[in-house]
Amino acid sequence: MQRFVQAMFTVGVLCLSSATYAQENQPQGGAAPVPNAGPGRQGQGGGGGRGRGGRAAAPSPTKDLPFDAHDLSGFWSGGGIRFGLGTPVPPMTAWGKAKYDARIPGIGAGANANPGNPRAKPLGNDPIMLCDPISYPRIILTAGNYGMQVVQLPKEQIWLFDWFFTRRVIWTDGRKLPDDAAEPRFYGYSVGHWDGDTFVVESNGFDDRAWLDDDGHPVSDEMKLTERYHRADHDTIEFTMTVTDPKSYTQPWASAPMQLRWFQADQLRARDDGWEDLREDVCIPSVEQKYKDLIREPAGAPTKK
Amino acid sequence: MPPFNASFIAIGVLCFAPIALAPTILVQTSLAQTSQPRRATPAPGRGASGRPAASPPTQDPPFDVHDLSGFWRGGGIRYGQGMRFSLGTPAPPMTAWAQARYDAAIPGIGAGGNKPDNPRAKPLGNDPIMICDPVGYPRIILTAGNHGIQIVQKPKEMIWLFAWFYARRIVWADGRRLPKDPEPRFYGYSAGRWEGNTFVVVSSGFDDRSWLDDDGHPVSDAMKLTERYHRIDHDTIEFTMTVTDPKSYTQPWTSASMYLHWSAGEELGAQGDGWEDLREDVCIPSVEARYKELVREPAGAATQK
Repeated sequence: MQRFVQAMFTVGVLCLSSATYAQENQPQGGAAPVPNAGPGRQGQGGGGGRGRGGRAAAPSPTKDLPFDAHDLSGFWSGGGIRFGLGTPVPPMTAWGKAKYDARIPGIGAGANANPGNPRAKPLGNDPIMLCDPISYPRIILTAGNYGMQVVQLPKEQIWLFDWFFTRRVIWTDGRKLPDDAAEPRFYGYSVGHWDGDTFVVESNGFDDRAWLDDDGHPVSDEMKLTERYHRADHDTIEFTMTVTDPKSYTQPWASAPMQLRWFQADQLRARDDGWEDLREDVCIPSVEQKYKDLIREPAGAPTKK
Repeated sequence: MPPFNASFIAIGVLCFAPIALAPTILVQTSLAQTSQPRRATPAPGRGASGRPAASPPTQDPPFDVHDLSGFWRGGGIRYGQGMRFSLGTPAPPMTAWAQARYDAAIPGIGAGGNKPDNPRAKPLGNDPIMICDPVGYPRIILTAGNHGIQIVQKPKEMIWLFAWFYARRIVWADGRRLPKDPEPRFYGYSAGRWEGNTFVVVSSGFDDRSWLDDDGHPVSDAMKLTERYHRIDHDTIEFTMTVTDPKSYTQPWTSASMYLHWSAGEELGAQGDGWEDLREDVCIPSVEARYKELVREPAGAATQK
């Protein structure tokens, strides 16, 4: 077991954490265990957050606080699923299947007997291993142990992600999605509106180089993404997403329920100096390259069959 | 003049626009934009090309001097008068530590042509941003001349989003003090406050792998940066910065005056479809690598003596 954890840790976790390598620091923790989680930073024992490593999980002091159902502002930890959307993937089109088959996940490899993802091979050909953009929705599906900050403004919401130092902007000023976006985007074009107590986000204009998830499911430039966010209590946002991408999948693909969890202020503190914000977990290609030479390839080699 | 311009553009400008490799049209847009004098026309943003230069319609409306919100285009020194590639004032004498770093840095921006803009530059150089390593702060604002910035001002924080490198900084205005010994960040730790009508930002905790500017001036982990922003009319924010970095410079280094210029909504619209926001000008290492082979190296070889 220890070897399994160690291998998982080496190949899976560290693959994602070059910034950690450089910055010699502990990963930022997430509160919620992720269902069906792959071998991400979960491998470190349930995701010890900064400043709370080693402490036993305590009842949330903020869970019962009053909240505004129409306010998603704050710091959250992602509640993603990693390999897929938590539901069976619909049949792929020939185009989608060819893309999927060509993709070799690097996340979820490792361990001889029980890899997190049987398709994965050490290193794989996952574009994020080179610091190519991780894209949306993959970032939120895999953001289990990373922080996000939602900034809600009257006409837009800005979602900032710790991991990859990236963001999305959801416009709520009444604009319509572009019909045929001239420039595809890794993070798409997004508009949102409130439907009762549910914040509905619709997106399109995605870049088809992106991987939908850690397993390498395809995304085409025809993908429409619909997300529904509902703040269930002070500490919890429940959400689902539906991928409608006829070029990749023969029918819409609706996710299982996922959650964002409130990030307690002390989980954000780097070192008790009162500085509460997201880390700058920017991907640095030159560091990735060195890291690959020094750690990934040696670590990947022994577990390769 | 045209050959000089052309080669400068080939080496300098397009080096920044790898994303343009895919949609060729963008390359043309970048060329058109950059060949215009910066101040002579209203923002060289998307959608601006082809329209006659006119007085910005937004120059005289009332504005709140304590509100920096909106879309701006950078007014860095890079394409400005005099001291290009830096703060617009002579660099103070460097320490031995810094001089060694500076001497080892070979700018890629400003090479090309028989009369290079920056005599230190060589085609390609060893500029870290050429492989998509983070551009860092303040370099991103010094070089953001043709790229957009969105400032979101909240009571306790200001969020600065950059189109270029899809980067961001957060300036906290909640009274916190800068951390004493933080994890270094390419974009630093920043706290701001109003002094009369001037927004003063102090920053520290920088990553010393950053280049201060396109010329490769050094930054150390001891650098403190002080910026002063003053909105002088609806369309203009005037600012200066002072670098205090005793590990690098024997005295503080204060910039010339720089400006951010209001970006009218239509300049942001991608194609007149009402979609007004920043481009997603994310750096993609795999594209950079291909771009280097296909464009930069041939272009560099042609101009190299």
